[in-house]
Amino acid sequence: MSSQQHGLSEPTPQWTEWGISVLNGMIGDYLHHRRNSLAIDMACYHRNRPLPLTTADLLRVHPNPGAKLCILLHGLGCNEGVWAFSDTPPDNPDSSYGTLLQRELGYTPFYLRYNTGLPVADNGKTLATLLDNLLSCYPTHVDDIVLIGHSMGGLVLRSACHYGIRQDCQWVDKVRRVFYLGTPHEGAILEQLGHVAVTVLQTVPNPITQIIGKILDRRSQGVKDLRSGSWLAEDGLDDDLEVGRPDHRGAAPWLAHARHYLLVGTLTEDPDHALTLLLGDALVRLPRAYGQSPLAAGSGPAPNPHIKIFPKVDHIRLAHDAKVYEQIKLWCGNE
Amino acid sequence: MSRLSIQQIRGVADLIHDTVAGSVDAIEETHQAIARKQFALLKQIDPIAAPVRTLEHIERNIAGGVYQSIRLTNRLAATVATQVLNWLEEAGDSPRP
Repeated sequence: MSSQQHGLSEPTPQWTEWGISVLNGMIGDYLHHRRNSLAIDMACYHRNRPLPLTTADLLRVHPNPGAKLCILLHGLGCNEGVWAFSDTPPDNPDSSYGTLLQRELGYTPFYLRYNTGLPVADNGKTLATLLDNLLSCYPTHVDDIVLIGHSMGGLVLRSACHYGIRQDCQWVDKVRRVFYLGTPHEGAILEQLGHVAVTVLQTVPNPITQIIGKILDRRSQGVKDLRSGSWLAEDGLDDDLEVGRPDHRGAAPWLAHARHYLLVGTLTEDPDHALTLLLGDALVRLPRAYGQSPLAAGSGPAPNPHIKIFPKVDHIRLAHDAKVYEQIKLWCGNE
Repeated sequence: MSRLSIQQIRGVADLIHDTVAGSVDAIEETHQAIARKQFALLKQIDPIAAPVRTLEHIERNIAGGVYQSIRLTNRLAATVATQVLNWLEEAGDSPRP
């Protein structure tokens, strides 16, 4: 039985849930393989509890379900609490992108929590199945799905769309828009540096550096996948990928019928500032060709790409920023 | 402030056990690698090669014994923790008089 299935009475994730989410990000694949009860199972969450996917439970949470759904997926080491503008529950009015989209544009929001230490492709497959289950018990007809992924969540969404098509999932055809907030489609610099550090430490013929390298190498496969933004099982493990070499193994098209929007933050006001060029939003750099079509090496152009840069909005803030929401609302409102 | 559930405490206990076990393995491996290097150097000096070999043997046995005792203690602690958590879980499940 997993951690989230027990005695949680607080409406929003508290320090224990945050600690467990961070731990899952760091060593979640290990926890999963060891069947440790701290490993998180992917589920929709409502008021800090997993939401059973039954029609009755969905009606209990959303008494007036709409025909438009909004799925929100957090990033590495986070949980659904990252969407909250303040300390209020994410399903309270004004507290997150999901609730605002519900109130202003009629989207019914669902927040997911998952083990971010698992390979991105594994989470993508699980999400594809979970969304199919959600739709099969959703009380009314659905004709529009918006996907919002923060950081790693964006990669998981791409993966889910890919496997959703393969598994012939009914929800895929209903996806109209996908929002990627600070998603490392081209890899995350921190993990790239981490990989270099581990390689150097393990190469130096010294038992102390080797043991440190060995410990650092125990980081989760989810983290390692961020090195090149891998989201397909066919990519293989990122351990095999040489540093600095573009990853062409993840060549798969973006979901063709959907519109894809990239929202990226920067540390400085000027996107061309050296600090921003080096670090981007602190964890993810600007897309190499923002404003143009090629987004990720080998994955082809995104159909109708839209990229918006938010100066002085750091990586985490992308998940709960008023300006970011206004942009999402604007794009959601455009037919 | 939220509290950890029994299941979560069980997970933490399992993780502590795994961490201690993994750390002991890694530390022993590193320790032996360092010791081997030093003894190999000393064994190149002919007059002391024989006593160094004996010393190496003794060191390996003592260190091995220490690491093994830590592993046993860790296993014992994990067993006790599991029993206590089982008992707490049963006590929590049973109806109050």
